[in-house]
Amino acid sequence: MEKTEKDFIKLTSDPLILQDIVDLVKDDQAGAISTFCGTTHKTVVRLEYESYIPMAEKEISSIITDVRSKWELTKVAVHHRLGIVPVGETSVIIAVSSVHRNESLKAVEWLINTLKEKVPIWKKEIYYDGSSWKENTKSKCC
Amino acid sequence: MSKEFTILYFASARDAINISSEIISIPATSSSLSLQDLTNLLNNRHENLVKILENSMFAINMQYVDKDDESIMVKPGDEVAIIPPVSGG
Repeated sequence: MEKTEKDFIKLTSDPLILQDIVDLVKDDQAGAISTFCGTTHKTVVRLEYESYIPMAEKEISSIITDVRSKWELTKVAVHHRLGIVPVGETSVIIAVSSVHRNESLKAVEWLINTLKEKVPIWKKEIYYDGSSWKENTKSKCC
Repeated sequence: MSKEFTILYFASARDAINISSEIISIPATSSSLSLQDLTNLLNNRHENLVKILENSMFAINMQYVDKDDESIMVKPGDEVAIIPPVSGG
């Protein structure tokens, strides 16, 4: 059960608050906390995210297992927002703690890149005159 | 005995056919479907899906499968998902 106390996965329609997620990965043993926030930029009216939620949770859990095999990490949190995300708000936050900074810095970059390739979450961009589903460049494909 | 599986459509796949899920019967002549059989069956049911399927992954019971693996079969009770290119983050 140790794993469930050290890994935090959430897909939610609520706003993401960086400090709350940093607090999840704080640990007396960890001298470093590294974070990544993905934010909606201003070329769109809003974004709408949807997910195959149970599989997305399973994939995130699997990439956390992978990242832990690459670097020695203390705690890992991956929170992704779903539904409508207005411009300027945060769509994803990743926070990782480790004893020294090198591991958590590398892990955060690897986690966001891998999440964007593999996790079944989709983003629809809504413009003033229409909408389109986006595709991440390295998105896992046939 | 019913020989049905569930299929889930997401994002562009769902928008193309306006269906998010359906239950499909495996043809009476077989006990399971290869991924090529599945692709043919879906293309026949939904012509708007043809292009999207070419660029999509399949997941069976929440596990990505290799579309070229001829040994993978869809069996009764499976949950199959059409996964268009993802765009999380």
